[in-house]
Amino acid sequence: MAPIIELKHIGKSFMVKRGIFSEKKEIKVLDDVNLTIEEGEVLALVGESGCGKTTTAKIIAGIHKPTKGEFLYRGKNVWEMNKEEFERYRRAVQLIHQDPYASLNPTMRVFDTIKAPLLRHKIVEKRKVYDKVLELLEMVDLNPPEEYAFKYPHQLSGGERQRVTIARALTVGPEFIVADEPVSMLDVSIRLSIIELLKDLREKMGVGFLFVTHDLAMAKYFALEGKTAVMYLGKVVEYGNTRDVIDNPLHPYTQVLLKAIPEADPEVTRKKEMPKLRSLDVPSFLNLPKGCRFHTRCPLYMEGFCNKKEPKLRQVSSTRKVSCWLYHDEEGNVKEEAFKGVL
Amino acid sequence: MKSGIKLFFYHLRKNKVGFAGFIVLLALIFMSYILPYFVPLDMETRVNEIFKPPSWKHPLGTDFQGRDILNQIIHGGKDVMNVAFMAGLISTAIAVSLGAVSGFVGGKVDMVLTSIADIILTIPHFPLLAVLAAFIDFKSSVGLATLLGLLSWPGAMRSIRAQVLSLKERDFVEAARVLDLGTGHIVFKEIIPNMMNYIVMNMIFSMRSAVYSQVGLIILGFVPFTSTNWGVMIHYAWSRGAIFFKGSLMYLLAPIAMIALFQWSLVSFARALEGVFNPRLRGE
Repeated sequence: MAPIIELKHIGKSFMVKRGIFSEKKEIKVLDDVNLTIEEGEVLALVGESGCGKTTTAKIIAGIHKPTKGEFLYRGKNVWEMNKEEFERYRRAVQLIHQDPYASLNPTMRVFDTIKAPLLRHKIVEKRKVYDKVLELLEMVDLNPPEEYAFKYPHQLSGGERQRVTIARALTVGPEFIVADEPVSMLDVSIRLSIIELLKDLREKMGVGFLFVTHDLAMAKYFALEGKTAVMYLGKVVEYGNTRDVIDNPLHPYTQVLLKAIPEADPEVTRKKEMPKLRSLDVPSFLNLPKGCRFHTRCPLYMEGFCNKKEPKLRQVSSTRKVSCWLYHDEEGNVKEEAFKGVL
Repeated sequence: MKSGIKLFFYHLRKNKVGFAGFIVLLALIFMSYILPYFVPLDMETRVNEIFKPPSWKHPLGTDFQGRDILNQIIHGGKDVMNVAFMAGLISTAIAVSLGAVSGFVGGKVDMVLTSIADIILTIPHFPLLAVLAAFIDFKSSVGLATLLGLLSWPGAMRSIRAQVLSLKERDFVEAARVLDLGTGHIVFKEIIPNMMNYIVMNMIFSMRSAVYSQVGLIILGFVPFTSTNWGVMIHYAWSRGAIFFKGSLMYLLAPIAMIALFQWSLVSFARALEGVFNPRLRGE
């Protein structure tokens, strides 16, 4: 059977114009992204701000149309679907936004927000809608639901709002949820409970997830049994089982990201040996470096090689893909000796 | 759960000035639409009572033909308000529908609609109305109201378009799209309610400017006046020399005061409505 979500050579570019007389310039926010997500699988998409994570998420949620490549839902190109198929896809794939303060309509009570999709898609009869709304609110741990149902978003805390948006996404019985940094705007103290809630839904309902985050610890926590993809400047640089990627990072960028996580104990953090980055600045999309996109910062930079040709994401073991000249050559032959000690 | 009307009054009462405006507006509407049924219009000329100062018989005095001013004030509001309400409704309806289409659809449609709005914006309205008054028969207030409405939408349309442009990119609209709630739901349930107070404000402001244009046209004598109304009263007070008589000051002041009161009640009512439409301002 075809995987539920498949991105094939996806590219997304925006046109920008600077000044009146300059020519329009193309910004390639995503370049040749390939990802496959199986039914019920969890994929964590990790990367720093502005690397294209959210754009990828919005392409999968069907908000952005890719400018290159194919986005397939169950083997069918979403942007060439007929109306019926597209409606099915729309209901199957739902999105949880990053900012719960912006993703709820301030003029609608919780009840109205959740009621709308239930009635629109005839999921329940009109007279049973109230019970269904309460049931959904209870499912996301908003207790007592009768009290929350008639509140306006501004009367709720960030965590409660995010629970409402989760309940809203659940109204249509999705098979796959795109969670775009669902906890990054929340207080640290309530992050875990929201993550637990999402995990719970995943286990109970078998919903697949694309979990976008900049926090590797969060990715490990949420997608431990799933896959992780690491993005850098619009490209996937490493892909594999979450355990492998986090315990044995191959790509220098992943290694640096992992090292950058601060420890709870400042003593440990201070003593930790930090990798020597060649530069702290992330290059601009308008002026991408030649060759490997990470070579301007890479601590393992190889002169005359990394700055000449751009590596492709290559399979280096049965479950692992990486795009780095350290691990494969131009023909895709794996340099096994490079990571014998690691894997 | 409170019902809609109860909620409306609950939030309206919170803003004291706004509530006062609402009461005054109701009183003026009552005076102009209901009272005339009980107080018949008396336009008989009484030569011996010309320009009399206020007295028990004539609380606001009499005019240049000895007619009671209070009586004319009561009967003179309906025309002014009719034109204001109709012009406000017409201009707001055009502004909201064109603004929403322009902002939501974008592209060429947007370009065409905004350039039409710009062209109308550049035409000076008052001279145009004055010229048109020579060709069009404004005997019915509907004609005048339609013309005022057709000329006054572009400003509101542009600002509503700008609001739609910003609102349609919001996350909650995106969420509605992902949930496939349909364009109708997105426009009428997600976007319009978020600018409801804006729309109502615009409507009230266009009513306000309709009052001024209408009264202005009448005072200057561009619109032939067949009935009693506040504008006609000011016109006669001015042209028949009420300002030169000590006792007849009320003939000029009373209609001006009524118009000012009507405008004030509209504006303060609009401010109170903001609280009704914006849940965040309710301070619950």
